[in-house]
This record gives sequence, C-alpha cells and structure tokens, in this order.
Amino acid sequence: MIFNGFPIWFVIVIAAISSGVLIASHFLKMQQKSLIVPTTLFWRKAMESSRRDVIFGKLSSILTLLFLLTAVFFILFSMLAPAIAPLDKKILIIDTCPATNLAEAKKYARELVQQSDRAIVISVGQNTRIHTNLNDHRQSAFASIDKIIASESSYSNLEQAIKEAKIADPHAQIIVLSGQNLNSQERLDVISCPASDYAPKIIPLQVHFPGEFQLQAKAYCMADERFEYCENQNQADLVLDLIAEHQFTQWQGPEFVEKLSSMLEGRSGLKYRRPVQEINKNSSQKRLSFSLNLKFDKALYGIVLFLLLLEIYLIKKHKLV
Amino acid sequence: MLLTTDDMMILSGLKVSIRKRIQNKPVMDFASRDIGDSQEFNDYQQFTPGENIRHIDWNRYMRDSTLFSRRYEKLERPEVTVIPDLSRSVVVSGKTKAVKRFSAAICFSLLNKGMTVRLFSNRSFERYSGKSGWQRVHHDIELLDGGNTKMLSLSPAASSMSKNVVVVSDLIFSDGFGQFKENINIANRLALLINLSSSYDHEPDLNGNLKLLDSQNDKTLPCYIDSRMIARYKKCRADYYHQIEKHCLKMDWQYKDVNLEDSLQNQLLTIAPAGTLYV
Repeated sequence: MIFNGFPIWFVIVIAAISSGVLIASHFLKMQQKSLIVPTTLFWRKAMESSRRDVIFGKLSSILTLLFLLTAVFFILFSMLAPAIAPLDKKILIIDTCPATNLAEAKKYARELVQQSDRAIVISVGQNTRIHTNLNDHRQSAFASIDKIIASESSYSNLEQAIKEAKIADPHAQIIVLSGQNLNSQERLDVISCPASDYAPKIIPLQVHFPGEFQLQAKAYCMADERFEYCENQNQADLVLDLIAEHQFTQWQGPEFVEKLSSMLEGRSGLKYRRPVQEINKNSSQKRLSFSLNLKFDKALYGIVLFLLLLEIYLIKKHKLV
Repeated sequence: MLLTTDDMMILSGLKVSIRKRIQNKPVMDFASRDIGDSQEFNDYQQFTPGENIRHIDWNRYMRDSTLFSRRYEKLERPEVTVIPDLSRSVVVSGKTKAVKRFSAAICFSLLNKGMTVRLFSNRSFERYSGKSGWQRVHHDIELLDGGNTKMLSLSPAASSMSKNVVVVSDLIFSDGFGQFKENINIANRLALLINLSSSYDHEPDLNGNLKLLDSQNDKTLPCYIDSRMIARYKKCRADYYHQIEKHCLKMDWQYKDVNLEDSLQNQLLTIAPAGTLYV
C-alpha cells in the first residue's frame, strides 16, 4: 500500500514517532515540580487572562474544536477533489416534419429525458411549441413527448426553434432530433446559432434509416461529447461502417470500446468516444464523487494529517514543549 | 539587633506627624510635641491647700473673692498602632527580617518623638511608650514568630487599635483584600500601608511546568510559566496593587511601595520624602 507516494512502513514510523512524542510529553507533563509561592492569586489571574486572550475565553475550546474540524474538512475536501457538477439540463427539439422517424425520435427523446436532470421538450413543425419547462417533472415531459404528432409541413424552422430554446435556458444542452437531410451548410447554420454555452447536437432520425442497430450507432456518435470527431455525416458513417464490418452485437462494455477505439485510430485517426449512456453515467459519477472518489490510502493520509494537527493542538494547549 | 546605631541616628532625624480625621473637614496634620502639661484650659475648681499656687486665677479672685484654680486638659501621648505582617506569604518570600526591621524602625521613630506604640503581636496588642519602650518593643519584635499569623486574624483585636495605623506588609491577601480593609476601616482609622517588595516579586525567576502551592490557603495551581506568563503575572500584580492604592486614596490612607533591597536611608526617603513621616 502506498500513501501519497510514501510506503506504508514510512507512514507507520511517522505515526509511531508522533504518537510517542505525544505520550512522552503527556507523562512529562504529569511530573510537575511543586513550589510554594506567597500567593497564587496573580498566577491564577494571569492564566485566566491567557485563556481569554487565546480565543474568546470560555468559547475557546469549542472554537478550537470547530477550527480543527474545519481544517480536517478542508484537507479531506482537497484530497477528494470533488467536482460539483452542474445539473444536466437538456433541451430536446423534436422535428415533426414527415422526414423524421417520429417514433424513433420519441423513443430517443424519452431516453434522453430519463438520463438528464432537467429537460425542456420543444416540438418544431410549422410552428415551434414549448411543451415543458425545466421545472416540470419527468412524467410531464414523457406525457408531452407522447402527445407530439407529426406535422404536415415538409419544412421545419430549426433555427427558430434553437433560438427559442436558447432563450428558455442558455446553459442547457440542445439536442435536435430531426429527419431532415441537412447539407453541410445547413448544419453549420444550425450549429452556429448564437448565444449558447454548447453547440446544438443534431441527431439525424430519417424515416428511411436502416435498422435500429445503425440508428443507435449514429445517435451515439452524434451525441458524443467529443462531437468534433464526428461532426459530419461522413465520419459518423465511417464509424457505422466499422461497426457493420466487424459485426458487433454488443454496444457497450470494455471489449467493444477497446476494439472500436483501436480500429478507429488505425483507420482515420479518429478516436472512439463514449456513447451517450456512458457519458451520462460518468456525469452522475461526478456528482457522487464525494463518496465514490474516496480512496482508502488517501483517507489514511488524511487521518495521519488530522492526528498531526491534533497533536500540535494538544501540545499548544497544554504547553508541553 | 534589628537596627544599628547608624540606623538609629538616621531615624532620630526623622520628623513624625500625626494625621487626624476631623468630622466634615479634610485630614489634618499635627506636629508631634514634647511631653508636658497641656496649655488648653478645661475648667475651674475651688482651690484646696496643697495645690500649685501658680494655677490660681487671680482675676477671678478679684471679682469673686474666692480662690479658684485653673484645670488644664491633660496632654495625652499620641498613639500609633504598628502591625508587622508576619503571615506565611511574608515568611515564604523571605521578608520576615525585613518586615521586623522596618517595623522596628517605625516604632523607634514614634517612640523617639514621645508617642505611644501599640504593636500587634501574636493576635494581641501590646502598648509601649517612653524611653524604656524602645527596649521592650525591640525585644518583642525580635521574638515575633513568623508564619503563624494571618493579617485577617487581627479582626477580634481590631477594635482596640488606635486611630492611626501603620501596616508593614507585602499586602498579599489570597482570599481577598476586603476583610483586612474592613478591619482597618473601623472607627475611621487613618492607615499607612507600607508594601515591602523585592525585585523577585516584580519579576519572579520561574519557568517550566510547576505546581504552585499558595502559602496562605494551601491551594495548588498547576501552571506552565514562560516569558508571556511572566508578563501577564506582572500586569496582574500591578493591577492588584493599583487597586489597593486607589482604595487608599479614597480613604485618605497612604500607600508606600518600599524596595526591601534598598538601604534604610532610601527606604525612609520613600515613605517620608520631605523628612517627615505622616502616620
């Protein structure tokens, strides 16, 4: 076992020495010389004033304890390095034009709502309609997703929908579920819509898309956090080709990740990135990092530090040295 | 001998003044006088043969044709109570001899000026006066047993103290200054408190972990003493004596801090800066 780079024997020796000093000091303190003085009146008053001077007199012990607890808290806090992740907020824009495979879009939207903390559901057809806001429950989001029906218009104004989504919450991630066959320029226009922390992600869900298997593959690639590696259709298709070529039957797990990653690097310099589920899983891990990131050796390191601090405090309090 | 011949020579040159508290008036100082009949007229009394004919009031005889002799007030020797504090605190701090010596010096000065001294010894007051008084008081002071008395124990005998009191002490009262203050305050006495202090009192040479035992009440105090503690001790000590000094000012008493390591001449300069000791 290694403690922050130090071997266990070293930590044990340090702990033994520090405890030994403390115990020896304690016994030394017990051996006080007796001395008769004319009066202890002045000494008693001097000690009282000394206590008053330390930290607010009678409160000193409580405040010192609080100080120590705070110090320990900060030490553990810094060691655990918790990252307080912001809420995972998503704005789902569901394109209701006939080109969109609406059933797939709804299924996918439900999945995204399930994985996010807060979600806004917007449908865009002839008109843009905001179905739920960020404060609504998941159930209402699911209900509103179910209520979305296909529009008759062959064109949906995605840009307008994205703008409205950004007004609703500029910090939320915008995911567009659309079946429109957007060319590069159109995609760029949509993505470069101003005033948002994130570039919107477009997940193509055409009606004619071949099979659930590939649909998911494309969705994963496009929804990836490292979107820049799959920013166009060709790159996403490349991943799909690879998947088809090697006939993967399982989408998750270390084996799949490892193989796909090595193949991508070998073929085009692309790196496989985690699919949506994995990303969301990791973000929830971040939020729980207070408990999950606690490493045993780091905790021991913190305990040793705490004991050292306690020792300094006791030595200071009882003036042993 | 508590006092050498040289000491007595120096003390002989010291004037002594008795302070009196007169109702509704500030404290007055009265110079001591030689022993003799008072000049203050008191009353007439019919002359009887055998009386001093110088006391016959001839003017009255001319008026009334009867012989009357004048009666004068009897001159009383001013009396001062001297309290040498030989409590345990004094003994522990090694001031016994200094207290005895200084008390003897005060007694000598008072007796030399024809005053009567009442000495507090072994919980009672003895009276000394006249030329022979000095030998007796010196002897008794020398025999005083240190460490067995407490300043507070003078309370039963406090009522028999005279109007003017001189206390030679370290003025340490572990259980409080209050009781002592009350004893002195009885009958509006005027007090001269002489605090005999040494440089060790001002800055004790102590350090480390000590269990301090109070000489007066046998209480213990575990204490770690370092330079900061010494600084706080000095402040507390100064505050304590400052409180006593303030009380003295309020009561028209006198407070004098005398360094026992000084020569007698310097000590006398402290308590009688202009060559006159006010008691």
